[in-house]
Amino acid sequence: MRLPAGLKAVAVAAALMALASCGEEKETPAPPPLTLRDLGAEVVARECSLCHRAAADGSLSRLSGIRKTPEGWEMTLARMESTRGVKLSPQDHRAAVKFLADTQGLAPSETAPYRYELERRPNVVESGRNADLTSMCARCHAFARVALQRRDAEEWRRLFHTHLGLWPTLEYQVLARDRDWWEEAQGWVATALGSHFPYDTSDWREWSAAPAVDFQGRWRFVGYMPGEGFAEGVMTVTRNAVDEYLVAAEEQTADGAAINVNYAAIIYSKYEWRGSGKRDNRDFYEAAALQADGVTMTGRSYWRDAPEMGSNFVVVRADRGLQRPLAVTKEGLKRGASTEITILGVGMKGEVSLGDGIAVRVTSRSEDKIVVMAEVAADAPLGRRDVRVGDAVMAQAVAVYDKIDRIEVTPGQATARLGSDKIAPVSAQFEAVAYASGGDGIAGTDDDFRIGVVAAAWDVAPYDEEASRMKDHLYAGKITPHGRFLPSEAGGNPERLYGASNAGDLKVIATVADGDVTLTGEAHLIVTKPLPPTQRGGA
Amino acid sequence: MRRQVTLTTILGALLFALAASAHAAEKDYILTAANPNKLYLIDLKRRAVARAYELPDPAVGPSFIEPSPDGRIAYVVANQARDIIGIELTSGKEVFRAHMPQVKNERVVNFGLTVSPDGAKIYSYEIPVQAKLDRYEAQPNRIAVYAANGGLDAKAEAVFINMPRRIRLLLFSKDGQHLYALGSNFYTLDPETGRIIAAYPLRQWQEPDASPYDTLNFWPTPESSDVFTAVVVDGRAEVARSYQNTDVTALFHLDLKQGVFTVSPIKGVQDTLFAVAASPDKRFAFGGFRTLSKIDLKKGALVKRVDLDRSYYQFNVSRDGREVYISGAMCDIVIHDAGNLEKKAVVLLPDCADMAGAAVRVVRLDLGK
Ligand code: HEC
Ligand code: HEC
Repeated sequence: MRLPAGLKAVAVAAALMALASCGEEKETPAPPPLTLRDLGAEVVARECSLCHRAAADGSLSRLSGIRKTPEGWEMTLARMESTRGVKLSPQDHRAAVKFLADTQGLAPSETAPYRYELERRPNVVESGRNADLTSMCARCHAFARVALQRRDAEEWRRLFHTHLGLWPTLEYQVLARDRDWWEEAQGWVATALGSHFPYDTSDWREWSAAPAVDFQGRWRFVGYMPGEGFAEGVMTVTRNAVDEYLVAAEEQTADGAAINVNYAAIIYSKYEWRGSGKRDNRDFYEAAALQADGVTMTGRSYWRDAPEMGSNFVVVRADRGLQRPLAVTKEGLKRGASTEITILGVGMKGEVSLGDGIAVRVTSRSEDKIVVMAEVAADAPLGRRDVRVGDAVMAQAVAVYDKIDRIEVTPGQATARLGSDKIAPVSAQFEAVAYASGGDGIAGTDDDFRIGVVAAAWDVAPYDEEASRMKDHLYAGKITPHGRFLPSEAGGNPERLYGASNAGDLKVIATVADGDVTLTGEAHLIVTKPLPPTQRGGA
Repeated sequence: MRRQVTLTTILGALLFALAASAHAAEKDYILTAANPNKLYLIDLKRRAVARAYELPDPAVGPSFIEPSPDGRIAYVVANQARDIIGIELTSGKEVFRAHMPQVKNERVVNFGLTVSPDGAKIYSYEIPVQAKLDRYEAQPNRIAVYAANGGLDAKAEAVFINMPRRIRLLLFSKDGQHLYALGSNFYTLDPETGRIIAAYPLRQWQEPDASPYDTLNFWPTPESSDVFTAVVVDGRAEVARSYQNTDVTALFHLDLKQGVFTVSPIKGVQDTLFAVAASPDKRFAFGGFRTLSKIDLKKGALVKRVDLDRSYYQFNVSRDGREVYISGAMCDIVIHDAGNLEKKAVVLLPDCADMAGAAVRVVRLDLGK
């Protein structure tokens, strides 16, 4: 069967330890310090084999038949600790996650479609599955939690035994009672998952054989926080131990402040970057993936106590002579107007060009940041276009428009959750995105183009008649001028009809002024009860 | 108005005193439970708690309650449905406790409980899972039969294995000949052997213009009518609207005396009906959630509805058919007039004990005996 490669390291480490403790210190060279991963191998061999029995080939029952992301291992370990009485020191716990994610992890190609879950992106609409699988496996947690694990059908079946063991009422819930949940789970679901997401894949085998990357050096980063804007800076990464780094970031925040943040990062499975530290005394976490080019990372950083609030970022090596524009702070350029835009990037040299009909006046520039005044001619061609700095191109980064034809509020469908004294509320951030209808003047056709995020005034209203009768908009929460909906508190509200909770069914309305014209856009927001942390995501 | 209330209260108290001293007359009570471990008998005439019991340790989170046919013993499911505890209501003594696991490392939850009409046997629908060293193993669901006189460490004296899954309630026919199991589907079983006599695939029911029935039944309330009534709704519509504005398609009726069941559509119901109960004359059903609805069963139509102060989950009808008891979670039991649906009284549990998911049953017994 599959030999847990990492477990061999245990034997080596144990042998080294034995040598060390034998005593003849003068003759024996000091053993190299244990890496976190080696320590993890030891912890797993020592603590887990009590129940997960070792077979002749060294594999551990159940444990060796599953691959998971660091977050997946984290969840399992937490359950071993809370329900099985496994006691690990914080360092041993970390080490076990490191060892398991390194030796039984997922390849970049395997996590790529589901990174939104690892990044805890809010209000993602999952797609690409049939309705039955959604009802079966994606109503308590995201389907991504499923798709970010690899195991054969037999192991999937065992996981469903676990589900029933932990939640005996599962089969009685809405979306389970309309089917033979257990029979289906044990039958076609396990079979299908076993073939879509099997333990053994060539992707993982190849990735396991690839060399590790050294993350040390200088990196340039640009982050975008919906509702707030762009943050940017440079970070210096130094090695602390194998796969463990210290990060010193100098950041220009979205509201213009300059701050320094020092934090720690760890690399799992050779590409999974996880950073954690404090800003303003508040814990943040970041999840990113090194891309196939070996010099770019994309990911998201978020507050631990409010994962829905975060910044989507891209990080590029700043010590390899790369020349790249990474972001433009304003996408929409109006015909006949002058607009100041900032191009954020790395190593940017050479002439700035925004294409036909736009005169570019550079007002300040460095290799990282160029501020230009873009003077758009009254007859400049309409539509999306590239931004060029020297030879580097940012494709379709800006748009020239003459008028806004419609406003889309994103996300179009969102959920916010009431907070209780035990569970923090979950807010929802909205943005107004302007579109032009293109040459045909008809909305919704192929020549429509995105103008970009625009400033809006925000309001909420009842979604339908029932919400109006219940006056949901007065109770469910408030929306800030930046488009963030802050939900009210959970529990029955004696002021409401039927003493109902503050749950609500709302329209979120953005009002945008374009010259003399006022446009509105709408999204649907469901404000509902708190969700226990285990169902909140994070794969 | 005020005077009248006082008068009836005094009268009630007098009657109670008389009854108590004479050791006679049976009375009607509501039998319910509350967190953490309380059991209550509420005197329906006096509108007040007549007896409060503490379930003996270990017992938390009482949920389902099944009264014995003579009303003297309350069988209470507690401890996350892992224990069945029998309390004799006259003495307050624990007279029964079932230990459901049949092998070491088995964890069992109860999901349906009924008592044979002679009071001798307790039927428990059980979901067993075995916890092995490195895995759980779900076992086939079963019905275990316990002798009511099995004592405080009662073991099953018969076990029917491989029972249908997703059963929520067990009920007995009045003559004791049939055991009914109701969940997403409905089964008639032989109580001696567990053999399935008839299976009605409610969930796979084919009807034009309707999706399969979704039955969600937590509490049986047949004690005043000998009819078990439940709401069956259009399952997928419910998902879409998550309990609001659900299209109620029908009521499920099981006559426990005659052994017949019907599913009949109801016209004009606008509100969600979380639960319903039939009147003793079987002419009306009362139920609701945020509203109280009165349904004419012969006409299959809504008669009247009134708003309630909050969401309620359980509806019972008095034995004389004159009152509706509305309850479920929190600490208030609201009494409405079954004729005009007006609110008549509210009974509060002491210290506002939270009924949470506890059942509310109507029992008739003589506490003096
Ligand atoms: C006291 C016994 C015990 C110990 C010690 C133990 N486990 Fe488990 N483990 C179990 C049981 C029981 C299950 C099945 C229930 C579950 O998944 O929660 C399980 C399940 C698992 C699974 C399968 C989960 C899945 O996704 O299906 C993994 C992986 C696992 N354990 C890893 C570990 C690791 C790693 C350790 C050591 C840090 C460990 N276990 C220690 C008892 C144990
Ligand atoms: C009733 C709700 C529910 C349903 C339905 C459900 N799950 Fe889960 N599942 C959970 C919860 C809760 C957890 C978190 C367990 C924990 O906290 O350790 C979980 C955990 C998981 C995990 C991660 C386990 C680990 O230790 O890493 C996987 C994988 C998973 N579920 C797969 C599935 C699949 C596949 C299905 C469909 C057959 C499914 N789930 C259906 C509630 C559900």
